[in-house]
This record gives sequence, structure tokens and C-alpha cells, in this order.
Amino acid sequence: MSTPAALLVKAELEALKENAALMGWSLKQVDDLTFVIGLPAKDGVDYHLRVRCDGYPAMPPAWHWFNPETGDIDGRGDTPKGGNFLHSHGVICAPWNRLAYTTVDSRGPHSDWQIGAWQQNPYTKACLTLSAMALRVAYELTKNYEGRLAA
Amino acid sequence: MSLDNKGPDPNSGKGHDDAVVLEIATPNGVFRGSFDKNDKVEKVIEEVVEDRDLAEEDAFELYYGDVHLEPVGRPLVSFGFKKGKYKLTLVATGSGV
Repeated sequence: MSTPAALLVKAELEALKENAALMGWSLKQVDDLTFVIGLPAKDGVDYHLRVRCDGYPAMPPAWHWFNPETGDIDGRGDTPKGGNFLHSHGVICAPWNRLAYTTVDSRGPHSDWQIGAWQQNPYTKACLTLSAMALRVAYELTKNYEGRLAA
Repeated sequence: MSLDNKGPDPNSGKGHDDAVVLEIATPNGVFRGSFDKNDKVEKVIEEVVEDRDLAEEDAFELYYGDVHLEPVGRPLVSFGFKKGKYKLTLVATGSGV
């Protein structure tokens, strides 16, 4: 029996699949609550994210940078940097990323945010769907990207 | 209507020969519609927000690649759009903090 999170992820992945097909992004669903998306940076490098959505939307998804060849997550060589968003700690710094919360991940810059209130966080604005979040990451990889976090 | 979503009829109104067909990745899937090259960016955003059931009070920015189509009072043609099909993205505002 599907969980509410799985049902919502299924619905939102339909929209994300449309966007991915249009934009030429890679998208692979791993299980009911997990998918991998590949997005191009402005230097032509493709970055991948493994996104875990358990507890969504009560909890924001966990957007892990991902190496599709090794299966590793959060490797600094697989992580982009640039601006405040592609944070030097190696996590996407936004309220809609679970990893931005210190209470979840020690790299998370924010101990001042309440994870259960991520949708009401003023920095979330309209990034309330998986597609909105992916579009925001794609934008940052185009505009503010400065290369890999580590060679 | 010949396109997937409920965008303006590409065969109606003025400037049919100048139809700018837009495919836009949005926070709620892909919008497809046709506009006159003299239509303003703000009209495009308004129609996409309505069509895709996005919250009107939320702020969105329209991009062509890395080009931010602003100010939104400018017509599409002023950004170089002419008859043809283009892929755009509608990005929710917000910033890393």
C-alpha cells in the first residue's frame, strides 16, 4: 500500500518527467520515494542528484549530489560550488533541502530553521514542488556555478 | 487549439505569421502555447501561471537559457524572439541563504 509521500512523489514526478524530457535532463526513478536527476552545468558537466523523499511533504526532500558510476553520494568531486546556494559545505542551501538543516546533516548551515516548517520558511517562496526545486538547481548550475567543490 | 495546453490559439488574432511558440518547463510540468512576438513577458508569465495552476501571489522569473527575460514589461521581440519555437524555464524566485 502506497504511503501519502509515495502518492505525492508519483504525481509530482509526472510533471518532473515532462520538464526533463523538454530540457534534456536525465531522470530515473529508483523506488517510490527516490529518484536520480542529471542536470547540466554551464561548463558542460552533468551533475547528478539522488533525491530521497521519505516523509514528503511534511519533511523536505534530501537532495544528495550523486555519482551514477560509483553510486556514491555527497562526494566533493561530484558536488558543484557557486554562490550561497551551491554551498561550500557541499549541500544545497535552501529550506526545501533536508540536508541544509544542521539537525539532519552536520554540513547543513542552518540550525536556525525548523524543518517541519520548511514550506512556511520565507526563503522557500514558491519552491514547493519537486519540479520547482529541480528548476532552481538547474538555474543555479547555469548562473552561479563556479566548478566542482573538489578536483 | 493545436497545442497541448490552453495557450492562445496560434491561428487566431493578429500577427499569426509572427507566432512565437513557447515550451516552458514550470514548477507544475510543461506549458505549451503560442504568443505574438509583440506580447509582453508579463503576459506570458500570467498565462503560464494560470494554465499550470500556480499560485498567483508567488513570484516567478522567465528564462531563455541563462537570459533572464526582464523587465517583464518588454515584448518578446525585444529579446530577439521571432517566429519559431523556443524552450524556456519558469523559475520560482528564491535564493541560497
